[in-house]
Amino acid sequence: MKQYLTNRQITLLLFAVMVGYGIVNLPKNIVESSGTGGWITLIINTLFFMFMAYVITYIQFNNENKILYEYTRELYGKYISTIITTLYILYFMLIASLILRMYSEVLKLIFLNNTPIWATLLVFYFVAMFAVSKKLHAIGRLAEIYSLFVIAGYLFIICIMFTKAKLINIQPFFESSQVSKYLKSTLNLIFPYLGMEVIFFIPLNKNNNRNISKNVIFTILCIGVLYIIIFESVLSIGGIENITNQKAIIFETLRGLDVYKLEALRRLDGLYLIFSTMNLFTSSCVFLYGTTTLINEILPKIKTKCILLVVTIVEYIISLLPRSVMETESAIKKTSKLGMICGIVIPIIMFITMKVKKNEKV
Amino acid sequence: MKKYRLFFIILIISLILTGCWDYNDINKRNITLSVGVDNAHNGKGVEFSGENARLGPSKGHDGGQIGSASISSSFTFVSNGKDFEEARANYNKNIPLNDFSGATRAVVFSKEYAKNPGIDSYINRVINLFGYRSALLIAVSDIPTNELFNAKIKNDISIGHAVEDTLRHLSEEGDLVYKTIYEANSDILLEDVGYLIPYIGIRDSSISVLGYAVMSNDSRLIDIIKLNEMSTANLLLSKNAVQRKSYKCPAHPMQDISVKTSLKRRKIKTSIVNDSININIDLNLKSEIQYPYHYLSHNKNDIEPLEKSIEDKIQEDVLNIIKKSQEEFKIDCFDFARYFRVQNPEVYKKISWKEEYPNIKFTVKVKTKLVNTNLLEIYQE
Amino acid sequence: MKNNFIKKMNELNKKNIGVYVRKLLALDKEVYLLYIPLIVDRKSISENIIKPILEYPENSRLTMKKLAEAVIFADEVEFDSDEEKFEGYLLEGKTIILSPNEGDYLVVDVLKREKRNVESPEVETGIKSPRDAFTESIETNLSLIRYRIKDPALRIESMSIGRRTKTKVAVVYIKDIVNTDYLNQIKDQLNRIEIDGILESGYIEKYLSDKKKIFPQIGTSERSDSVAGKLLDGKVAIIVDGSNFALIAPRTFLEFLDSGDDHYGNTYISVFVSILRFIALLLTLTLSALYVTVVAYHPDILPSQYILSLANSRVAVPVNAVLEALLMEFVVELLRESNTRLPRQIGPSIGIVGTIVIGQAAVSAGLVSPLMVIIVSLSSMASFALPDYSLVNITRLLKFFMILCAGVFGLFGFIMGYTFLVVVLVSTYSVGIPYTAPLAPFSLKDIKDFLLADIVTNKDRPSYIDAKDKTKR
Repeated sequence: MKQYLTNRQITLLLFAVMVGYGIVNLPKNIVESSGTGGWITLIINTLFFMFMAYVITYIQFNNENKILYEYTRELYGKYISTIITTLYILYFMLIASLILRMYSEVLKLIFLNNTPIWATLLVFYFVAMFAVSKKLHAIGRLAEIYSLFVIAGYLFIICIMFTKAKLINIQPFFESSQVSKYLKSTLNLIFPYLGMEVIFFIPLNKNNNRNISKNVIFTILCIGVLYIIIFESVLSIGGIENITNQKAIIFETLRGLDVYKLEALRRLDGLYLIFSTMNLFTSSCVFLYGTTTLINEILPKIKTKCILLVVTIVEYIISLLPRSVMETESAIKKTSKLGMICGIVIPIIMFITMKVKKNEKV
Repeated sequence: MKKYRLFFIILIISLILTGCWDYNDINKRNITLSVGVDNAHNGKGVEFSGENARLGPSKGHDGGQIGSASISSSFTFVSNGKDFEEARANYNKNIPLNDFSGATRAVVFSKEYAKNPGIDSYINRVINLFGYRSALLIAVSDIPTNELFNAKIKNDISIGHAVEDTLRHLSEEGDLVYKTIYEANSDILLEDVGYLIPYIGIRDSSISVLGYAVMSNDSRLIDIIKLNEMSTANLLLSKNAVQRKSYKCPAHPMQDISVKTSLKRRKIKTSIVNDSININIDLNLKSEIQYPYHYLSHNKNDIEPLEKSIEDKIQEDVLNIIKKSQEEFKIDCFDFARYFRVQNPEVYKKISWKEEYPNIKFTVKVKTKLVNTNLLEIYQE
Repeated sequence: MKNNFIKKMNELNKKNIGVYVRKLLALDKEVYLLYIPLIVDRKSISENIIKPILEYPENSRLTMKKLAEAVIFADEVEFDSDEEKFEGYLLEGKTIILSPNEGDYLVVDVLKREKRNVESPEVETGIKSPRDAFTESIETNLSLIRYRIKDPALRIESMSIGRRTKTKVAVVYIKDIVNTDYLNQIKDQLNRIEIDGILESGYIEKYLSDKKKIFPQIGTSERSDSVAGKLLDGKVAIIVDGSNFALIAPRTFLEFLDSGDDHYGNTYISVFVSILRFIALLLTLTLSALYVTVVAYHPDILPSQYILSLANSRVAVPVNAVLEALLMEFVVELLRESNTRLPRQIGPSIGIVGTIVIGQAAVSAGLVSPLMVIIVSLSSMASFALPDYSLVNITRLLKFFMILCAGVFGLFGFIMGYTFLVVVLVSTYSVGIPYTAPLAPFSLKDIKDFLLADIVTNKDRPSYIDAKDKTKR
């Protein structure tokens, strides 16, 4: 039985997947590549990804009730579609494991100094496996509830950060001599926007999900605006030099912030930990579900529960493989290149193929 | 599936019983209230001093009051070492419990330590180590920190509380700009500028603010801005600077009028004219008459000359302090570099701000408006 | 035929089920009365059955048909001819009138059972709400519902469940509103129950819920006005004979936070009180766990003065925070259990002893910190703010789970424990409807209707019920 999600659930799910990891090192990446005028780069990237959103939802919407493996089999034949699906499976598995590993490292550095990483990852994977075993509906509803909290949390933190902002730190807004630098750095900033390819394993229904393209495009716009605001507010507190100097910049900025008037909530990074854990949990559930479903499509004879268990154990082992934070970061960089192929190149090819076939029929 | 369930349950139970790696009850930890960093008195090295909280009434005393939440007292500690790590190791050997530094209220450097070797190494330590909050206040004290923390003060619980409370209440009233470690770090990272830190001492058994300590670009103490120039420095640095002064009334030379002047807006414009840098400072103030010293009747024509005399005095003070920073301190401690960098980014990259600073031409324009006379009706027709 | 009846009658007399046989002579015709005196209205039998038969004046032949139509005064009369059903009728409280010459016998309903009057609700009390609560008798309960909804579309389907108890179970619904899918699902599940005896609605509740679920999926209610309100929303009510709690299906999570008298009072108050109840639920679940997190793992969340006073208050406590929290929660649960079973004479004093003395003395003896006592009593007080008993019971158990999670991993463990509960919540279904229904899938109109509880602005039934008749006008 195919399970459908409502429009709102899909957009909030997308929000969780895209913002989940991208936002942690976002200010640092922007400042390194384009300085204080980075908001221009973000706008360019947002516009490009709005187009990609249209592409991906078009593909999925016109293949009603089917997910990736099924319609690529129709378009290209069994052999190529197996390769494409395997590529996606690999990408989802790697990205989920590496992101969780990075998150555990940050958690260990800032909050739980002595807890070993395998313990926190074990708890995380256990609860994620439990959530995925309840099927797509549960994940959709979980995303709906959690993403609302996360958005509220981000708005709250942004308001607090703005009370301590110094305008001088975010200027100059635009330097005309740096335009070429702004344009070149669009390539470096693709990673925070990756994540739309999760739509590929959510079956869409023409009745339930009317206007899904408009909703998704609007969501990408909002995410772009959120990125710009977070970037500007973090920059306004510390200044450029502070950002390039540190990892996990949002946590560090919140640690250095002491708003005296908020009596009980002075340690804002604890609050931020709650939101970012919720966000990451939802996104890792989605990736885990995607991997399981796609493997289930390729090998329909094995029971879903066994596949889920095996996939979780494999991801747990991958999470423990890198031996240090530096290795994790370089692995994430390599995976994001794979992500560019999965997220941009393949959908565009499929889009073109579909348009050509449609024109042939007519 | 039943076997898997059993396996999971065993795993979880073992995790609960053997885990809790980070578990540390708050009352079984040694809470540090304030930290002071000084040069070691017996030769090379650093000395950490400060206060730890003393929890609860001692056993055997009030039987009925055990466990009530009363404000505690504190006791001081001292530890020496060749560098930070050794001093910290010596400190750890002397305390009976795990250390907890999340409740620290202030970090105080002694004058000698701030002069040499400078405070940037400790700032880096606080920002990067686990367990410290980088929103701590910093201050420089004019006596060695050991004496500071051992002094008895009459109006607060501990020296750390007194320092933080004094600095905060002054900044809320607009008389002071304090710096946290995070903000000082961002000034250090922007090379070629200095910054100002509150300078405190003990006068009359209480903590008192004695001025600003001027730190150079490598975080060493160069000079002190004294109390009478503090309010002028605030006009250049703070968002809500307030100055309360009495001015001689121009029309009646025997009359003193107390005026409260607050900063509405401050604009700093930089420009380059013929290879030399000009900076225009535009201060927009508002003044309120608080009260006259003697009762005399004034009329409306007294307002303008009063405004003008306020403007002239403030302009003179500001130019003086900037001149002092150019000639005596030789370092930009008022954050002009950021404005210049924003408005002329290309030129900033080519020059060395530290060398150019003494040659900058400053012009100051002050404009104030007397908005009210409090509730007094001192102007009659 | 006639011999069979007499033979069966003698058999029953020899078995010790309490049957009494009364032989009457009406114009030289033998008429036998069989009944079990324990469960019949003996006055009604003598006045309405025996008296008219004995005073029958006419001379014509007395048949069963004539007895039923012209002689007997009782109101419910049936004909039957199968002697194997004697036992069944007798055990239901019916009287059997038979004659050796006739092929049919009469079955007259004269059931009288001990029941109590309609009283105030015990568990679901409210301020401005009707006080006629359900009792154990199914007839009373059904009449309380029937007089409120005079719609001819209200259907009451009775069935008898339980091999030995043959408990009468009634499924009540309004035919043109209810969604027939749920109805059929419920009826199927009820028909599939095979058990010795159903004593209380709780048994049926367990049969209708999924096996391993933590949160209650069927609602219970003691008040007849709230059941009538739910029927008008398109839900199905199940009333069990012998139980004063009616079951309502389907029931979503938010409805457990809704007490009936929200609808009868001021709108703004109802918004405030709904939010208050939600916060009370959160407090019950998380307050002790938050205490453990803050004290043991992240004290720097609090401002400096609070840290010092917190540390001060715990100086004399010998146990660590997790054990202290678990111990105090356990003591409170003990007090709660013992309080429900105290006899009325010593109840209040022991209650005072338990709460005040144990709390105060424990603090003075230095066993627990005063903050812990405050937290534990606040969280148990908060649990009483929730109107539905089944949800409160579960939160009492989940509290311990949260304390353990927070005790092992601090703030991270707290969040993960919370997430686990949210995942369980989100994946529960109540008769096919997702448990978190107006929240996820999100429907702003339903949430507004729930919060405002205003009959004037609330024109439609909740959309997740998917009723046949969607508007209330």
